[in-house]
Amino acid sequence: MHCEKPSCMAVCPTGATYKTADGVVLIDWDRCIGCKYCMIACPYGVRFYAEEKQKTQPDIREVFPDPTGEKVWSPPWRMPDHVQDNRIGVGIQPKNVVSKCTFCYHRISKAPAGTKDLDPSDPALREFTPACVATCAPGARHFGDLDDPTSEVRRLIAEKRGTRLLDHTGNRPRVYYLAGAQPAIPETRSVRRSRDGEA
Amino acid sequence: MAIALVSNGLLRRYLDIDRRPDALAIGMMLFGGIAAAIGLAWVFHDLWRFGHAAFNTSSDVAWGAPIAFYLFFLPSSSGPSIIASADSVFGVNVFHPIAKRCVFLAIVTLVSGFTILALEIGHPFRMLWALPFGLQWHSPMWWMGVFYSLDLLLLIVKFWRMHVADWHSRFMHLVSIASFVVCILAPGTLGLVFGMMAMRPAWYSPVMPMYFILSGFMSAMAFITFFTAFEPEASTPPALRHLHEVVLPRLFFLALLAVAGMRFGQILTTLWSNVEGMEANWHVLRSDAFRFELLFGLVLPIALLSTNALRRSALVRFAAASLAMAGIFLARLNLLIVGQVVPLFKGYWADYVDYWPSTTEWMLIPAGFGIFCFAYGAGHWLLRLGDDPGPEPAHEAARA
Repeated sequence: MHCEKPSCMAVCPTGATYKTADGVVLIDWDRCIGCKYCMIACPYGVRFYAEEKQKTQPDIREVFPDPTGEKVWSPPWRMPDHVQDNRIGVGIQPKNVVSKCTFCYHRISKAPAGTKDLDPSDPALREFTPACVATCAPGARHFGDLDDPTSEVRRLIAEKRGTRLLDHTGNRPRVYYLAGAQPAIPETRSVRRSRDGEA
Repeated sequence: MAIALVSNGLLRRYLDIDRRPDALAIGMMLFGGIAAAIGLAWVFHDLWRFGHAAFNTSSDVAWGAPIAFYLFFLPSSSGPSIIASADSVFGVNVFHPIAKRCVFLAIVTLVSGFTILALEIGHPFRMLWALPFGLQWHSPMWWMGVFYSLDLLLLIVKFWRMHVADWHSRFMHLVSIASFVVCILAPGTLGLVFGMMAMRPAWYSPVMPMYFILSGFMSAMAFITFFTAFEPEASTPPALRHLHEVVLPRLFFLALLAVAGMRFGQILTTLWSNVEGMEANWHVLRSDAFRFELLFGLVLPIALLSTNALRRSALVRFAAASLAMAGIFLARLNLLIVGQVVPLFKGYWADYVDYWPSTTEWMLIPAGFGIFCFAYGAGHWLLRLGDDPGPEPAHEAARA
């Protein structure tokens, strides 16, 4: 969620999780020891450890194993190898480290300086736009500079009731949900209690 | 040849290799060696074959049973350290006959805990440089690493001075005081690792460090009682017998009462809370693991140690200690589950997370406990753990 006050960064005992000058929270895979404390501390549960039992079979990691044995797997449709950058947690995840969304830092960090909004419909900016924004068919996702009051994302947050999830935790994520006319954002986490025989 | 002679001389000087091991040493080394070999072989095989996917942990339950085993061992090292420092810190020398044994017990407990941690963590060797050079002073886990490393270092120094019969020097006195301070801070920061997690309401509590210190002391009493119950009564000096039969069981009993009181308060307050995430407490309360923790880990040991007559029986002490050790392990597992059973954020449309340790995770028990028993048995044989310094010369002079 690339929080303003990321608790994952605060608890990291090695400094593997860090925040860039432009506010993106990243993991240095070469420093991560796989203690998973950041996964415990992230209120949004958006950090992942690949070494877990697969819920579906066949295990795709065993279908495409990494010949070097260093990475979790080696999918044939992966990005070019030269893009792999462990210092910013981009590429195929190495074994025994935690991963997270990077806002496609390898793309956004190369955008022309001073770009307010990365609009994938602009051919000049598309290659610098995060992949999830570029591939979202209905154009529901937007990416821009929150610090610039004239940016499109700032206007959307103001006009479409931009909401941050679990705001009470104080993490202040930089991902906003544009509620618009919707009555609620799913920000509570009450568990269904039927299993324990409760209402 | 010369090197062999020197090492042989050094060995004989510091280790009792000529002494025949007694039944306790042989039994513990044999049991520990076999258990450790089976456990480690099993875990290493599974880690080599499946990686950490051999554990049943997931992105929802990131910390599983291996962390519970590690939480079982590490805070337990504080109790023996406190007892071994009682002389320097409080001027209480009643524990002198078991002080050296306690320091060794604390060391092997820490080593067993660290071994399990190394098998659980993704990159244990990277940790050796990334942790000290990271200097992440705002992370409770970093402080935990600092204090437990210091704890181990001070315990080794302290044991070394005891082993060369330096019990009363100023240096030893300072090491004892430092060891006492660090052995309180270490489980305290371990408690903070959980207690500071505001995003996991079932853990978030300023009382958590105190709970870890107290429950660590209680489990340490269980460890000490467990091992001293094997001491043959006939050959035990009266002062040591008094310690085994009266002082230590009473301390153990009091520690059990304190932990039970704290646990009771913890449960009551959490059940009254409407904060989302706290419903996990109800989930854990309905589990068999919690029932065992409560009945067999707290109530029964308290009942067993409730009278002087019962406390004098080695069998009763042994049973109470065994139950309390099993109970505190389940308490650690319950603590881990309660904080993670409601998935973060996804709880709204998800259900409680299913988690039960895999065979690989269970095999960490024989691995860790085997290392512990083997090391303790070897120490019992070779390191004169029963050394008693006698009264401090200065005290004797003052009396004269």
